[in-house]
Amino acid sequence: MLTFIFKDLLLFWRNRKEILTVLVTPIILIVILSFAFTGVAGISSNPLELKLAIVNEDAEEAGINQFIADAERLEDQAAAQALIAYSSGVKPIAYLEQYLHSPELADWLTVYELSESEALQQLEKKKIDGWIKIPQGYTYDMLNAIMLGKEASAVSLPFVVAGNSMNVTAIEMMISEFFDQVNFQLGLQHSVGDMTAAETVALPKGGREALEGAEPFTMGQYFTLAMGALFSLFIASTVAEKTGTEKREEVIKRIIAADTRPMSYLMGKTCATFILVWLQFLFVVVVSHLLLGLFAGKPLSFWLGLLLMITIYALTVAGISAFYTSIALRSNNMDAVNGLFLLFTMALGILGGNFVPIYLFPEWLQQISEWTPNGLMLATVMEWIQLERVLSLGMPLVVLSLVGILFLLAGMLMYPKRGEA
Amino acid sequence: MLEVFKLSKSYKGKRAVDEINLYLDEGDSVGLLGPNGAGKSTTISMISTLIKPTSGDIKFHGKSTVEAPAALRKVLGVVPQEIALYEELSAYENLKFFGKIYKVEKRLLEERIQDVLDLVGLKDRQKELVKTFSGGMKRRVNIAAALLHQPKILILDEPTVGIDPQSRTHILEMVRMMNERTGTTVLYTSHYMEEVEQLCKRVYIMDHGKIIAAGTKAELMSILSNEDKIQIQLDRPSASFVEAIKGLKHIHHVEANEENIDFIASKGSNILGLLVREAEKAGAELINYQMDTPSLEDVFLHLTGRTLRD
Repeated sequence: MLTFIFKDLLLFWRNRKEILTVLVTPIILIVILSFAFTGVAGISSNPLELKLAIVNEDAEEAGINQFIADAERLEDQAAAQALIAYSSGVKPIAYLEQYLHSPELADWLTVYELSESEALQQLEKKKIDGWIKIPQGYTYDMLNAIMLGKEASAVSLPFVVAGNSMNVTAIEMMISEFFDQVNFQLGLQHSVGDMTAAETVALPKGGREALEGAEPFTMGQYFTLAMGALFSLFIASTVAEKTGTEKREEVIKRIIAADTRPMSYLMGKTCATFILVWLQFLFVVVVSHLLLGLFAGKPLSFWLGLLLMITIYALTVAGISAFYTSIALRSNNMDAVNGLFLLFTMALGILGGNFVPIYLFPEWLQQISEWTPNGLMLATVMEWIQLERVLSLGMPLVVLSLVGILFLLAGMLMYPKRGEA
Repeated sequence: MLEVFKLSKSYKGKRAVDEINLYLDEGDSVGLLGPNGAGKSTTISMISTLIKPTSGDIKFHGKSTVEAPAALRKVLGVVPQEIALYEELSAYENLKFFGKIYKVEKRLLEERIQDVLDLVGLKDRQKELVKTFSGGMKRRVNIAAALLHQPKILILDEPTVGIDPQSRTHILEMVRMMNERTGTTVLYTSHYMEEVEQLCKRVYIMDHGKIIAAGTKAELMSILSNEDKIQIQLDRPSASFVEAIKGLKHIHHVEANEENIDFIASKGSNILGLLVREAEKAGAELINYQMDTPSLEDVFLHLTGRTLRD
C-alpha cells in the first residue's frame, strides 16, 4: 500500500498545474471574496456594525394623557384609579429608546432619530440598515392593548429595510426580543395586580444571542476555511480522474497482473488523498494567516482544535475519493464521470456555503448546508472560532467521521472484481 | 507447463474467442498470429488472468488458474499492447514502482532495474520522464517493466506496433536472447508474419476467434506443400494476359500490379510454357519468372482467403 501512496503523491507533485490550482487559487479567491463580501449586504469585515433610524410620529405624553382621560370615564373608579396610576409610568417609546441607546448595544448599534423622508433617503444611500416607524397613536394603542386587551392598528412598528442581510436579521431579532420581554413583563405585572412596577420593567440586554465570551468571525476567516474545504473536494475528484488515466493507459492491467491485493490500490488512493487534503488545507490556512493576519492572537488550543477538524475532514474527503475511484474504475466513459464529479463538487460547494456566506441564506438552506460535509465542517469551525468550546466539536467530528467511513465502505463494495474494470 | 482447454469469451452474445486450445512447454517460443480483431488480445488477457473466460480452462502445471490465478501471476510477465506506464514518472521510477508491486526484494530491486535498463538499452536515460521518450523507447520500457521479477513465462501482445525499425529490431533480438539464453517461455502475438517467423518455433494462427492452424513453421508450410507461389514480370502491362491466366486450370489467387503478377500454382504444374504462350497471344514478353518460398502469410491466405493485413 505504501508503494501506491508514494506513487500517487509523486504523480500529484509532478503535475505543477494541479499544484498551483489547489494551493494558489484558493489564496487568490480568499482575498477576492473577502473584499467582495465586505460591505455587501451589510456584511462588514469587522464585528457587527448596525445602523438604525427611528422615525417617531407619536407623542408619548399625549398618548398617556389620552388613555388617562379614557380611564377617568370608567364606571369602576377604583379600577380606573389603578389604571391611571399604572399607565402614567408606562412609556413604551422611552423603553425602546432606552434599550436602543443602552451601553450594551452602543458598541455595535448606532441609532439616529430622523423624519420619514430623511430615513427613506438614508436607506436608499445605504447609510442605514433600516428604520423603525413609531406611528401616531402608538402609545395610546399600546396602553389599551396591554391594560384593556383591546386590539388596535398602531401597536405594531413597521421596520423598513432595503433587503435581507445579516444586519437586518440582527436588528429584527433585537427588536423582537425587546417587545417579547417588555410585553411579557408589563402583561404579567398587570395580571398579578402589581401596578407599581411599571417603571421597573427590565429591558433585554441586546437583540443578539448574547453568548459569554463569543468572538465574531471575519469574512477572511470564513473564506479561508471555505476555500480550504472546497478545494479539498477538488483533490478527491482529481485523484479519481487519475484512475481514469491509469485505466485508459492500461496501467491497471499491469497492476492486476502483478497479483496485488485489490484493496491495496484503493487504499493507496484513499491514503494519498488524505495526505494531500491535509497538507493543502493546512497550507491554505497558514498562508492566509501569514498574509492577512486572520487568526492573530489565537491560543494554541485554538490551533489544535482547528488541526483536529482539518484532520477529520481530510479523512472524510479521503472516503469520498475511494467512492469516486471505484466509480471511475467501473465507468466506460471517463469524460462523463469527470463531469459528474465536478458537478457534485460544485453542488456541495454551493450548498455548503463555500462561495457565498451561508448566513445570507434563508434558515432552511442553512440547515441543508450542514448536511454536506464541507458545510458541516465550515459551520463547526465558525463556531470554534467564536466560542472555542471543545464539546461543540464532538458531534460534528463523529458525523464527519461516519460520512467518511460510509463513503469508504461504498467505495470498497463497488470496487470492481476481475474483468469488471 | 501451461495448457489452454476450449477457452471461450463472449461479450454481449458475441464470441470473441471460440473454444481455443493451445499449450506452452517450458522454454518454448510460441507465436499467436492473426489479423486485427482475431481475438489474440482477448486470448492473452485470459491467459494473463486479467479477465475471466466465459468457459474453458487454463492450467498451469496441472492446476486451474481461472479461479486461483495467484500462482501463475507470480511467474508471468505481461507486456501489454498499450504503453502501460506512468508518463509523468521517469523510466527508473516506473520500474521501481512495478518492481515493488511485483514484490521484488528490496536488496535485489536496484540491481534488477539496472539490468533490465541495460537489456533494453535505456540505462543512460533512466532519469528522464517517459513522456519525453519516442514510441520505440516507451515500448522498451514497457518490456523492461515485465522483466523485473524474472518471469518464467513472458507474454508479449503486439509489442512492436507503431515503432521505428531500429527499436523493432532491438526488441525482437532481446526477446530471442531471453528465450535462448535464459530459457524464458515466450508467447508472442502479432499480426506481423515476419516477426513470428523470425522468433517463434511454433505458431498458432487465429482468425475470428478460432485457431485455424497450429504447429511448427515447417508443419504449417506443409499446408502449402502442393502449391508454389510464383511472381512473373512482363515487358509491358497486359490486362488480357492477366484475364487469360486467371482462367488457367492450375493457377489461382492472381494479383497483378503495374510491375508484377503474383499467383499461386499447383506444384508440378509446369506452367512456364503456358505462361509464355499466353504472353505471346497478348503481344507481350515474359521477362522474369520467380518462385517464392511460401510464408505464414501465404498459409493464412490459403486458409482464409485474406491477408493478415486485411
